[in-house]
Amino acid sequence: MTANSVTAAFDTVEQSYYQTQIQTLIVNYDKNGFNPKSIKPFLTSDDLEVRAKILGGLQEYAQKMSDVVSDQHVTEFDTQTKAFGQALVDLKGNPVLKNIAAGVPDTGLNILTTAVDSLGRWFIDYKRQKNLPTIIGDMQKPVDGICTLFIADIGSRPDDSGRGGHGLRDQLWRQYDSLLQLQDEFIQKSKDKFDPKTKAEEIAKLPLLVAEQKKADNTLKATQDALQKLSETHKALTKAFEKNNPSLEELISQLYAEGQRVKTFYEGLGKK
Amino acid sequence: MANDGPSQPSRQEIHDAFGFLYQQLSNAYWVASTIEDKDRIHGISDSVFDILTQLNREDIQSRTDDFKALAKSVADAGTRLDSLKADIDQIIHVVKVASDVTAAIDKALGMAAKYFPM
Repeated sequence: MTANSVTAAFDTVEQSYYQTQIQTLIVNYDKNGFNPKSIKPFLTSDDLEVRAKILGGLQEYAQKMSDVVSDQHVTEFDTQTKAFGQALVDLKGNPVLKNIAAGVPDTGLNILTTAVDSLGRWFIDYKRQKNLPTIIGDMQKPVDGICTLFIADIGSRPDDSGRGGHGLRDQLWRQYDSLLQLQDEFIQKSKDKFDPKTKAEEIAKLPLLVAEQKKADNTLKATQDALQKLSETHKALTKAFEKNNPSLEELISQLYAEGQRVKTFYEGLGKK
Repeated sequence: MANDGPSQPSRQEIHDAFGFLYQQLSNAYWVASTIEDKDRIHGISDSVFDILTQLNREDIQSRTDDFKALAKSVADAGTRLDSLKADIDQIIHVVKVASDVTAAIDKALGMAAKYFPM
């Protein structure tokens, strides 16, 4: 979600920059005409591509992390072991093996299946516990770096004196300032040619632009806040996985929960 | 030998100087009473806007190389997660294979019993 907001921040400034150039063209057309080379993007494709690549990579990282951490694997594993248990029961009932397997009770097969399930689940957890803290820990510095860079890219709006601004917020704020003047000039130059309805509509755009300027800036500011939170959340994730020394109560609670799960799983065997 | 000359202004200082000028021009635009004055002020304002745009562009571009350096770390983390996911999938796959083999044996024995009555 944060990655989408950052992409939207760049898109918004780019679209508004384009709009400013079009409005300039309209207002100054009688004086300057049109030069095809006059319409330019705000940022080059190289600048945008590397940022899009980083954001895509972050989204993939989050998705893959969610895949690995989710219960989906464990659920799928349970399904597979249940199918395995049922296949064993079916095999035992096969007429050819009936005599050989007659001495094996269904309970024995259920115990075997449960053991396979418990071992597999433990192995999945072990793999996660062993690998995830390192991967997440190693990613903390890049995540911090990415968030800091994007926060700096978004920058800040100018203060009332026009100072202190930089980055996307400054650019967007000035574009709205420019759009306001261009809209006003357009009205001033054409006011005698407008019918009353069109004139009212064009004038009404002025306060709308003022409101939009503040709203757009607040959205960019919110994106910066989200980036700050993303960095903090990732830090919390690192700590959660580093916490490999749970208290006895937690261990007992985990053990109890695991016992309950095994019991439910065991009881569910043979019930299709 | 120490350089006693005036220090080079930072990008932000230049930005602030032009930002202040732009704001003054903007204030002047809204109090100007004739379209000619407004037009003239906006013409100057436009040039200052272009300078500020270039400064903002350069500010953002100054971080592009840092982003490029970080792209590799993000890709590496993705690869490592892929590998972990593959390990976990393998555990599931092993049980699935065991289940498939058991079912296949059951089926084969069933067929065999029909053709070679015991």
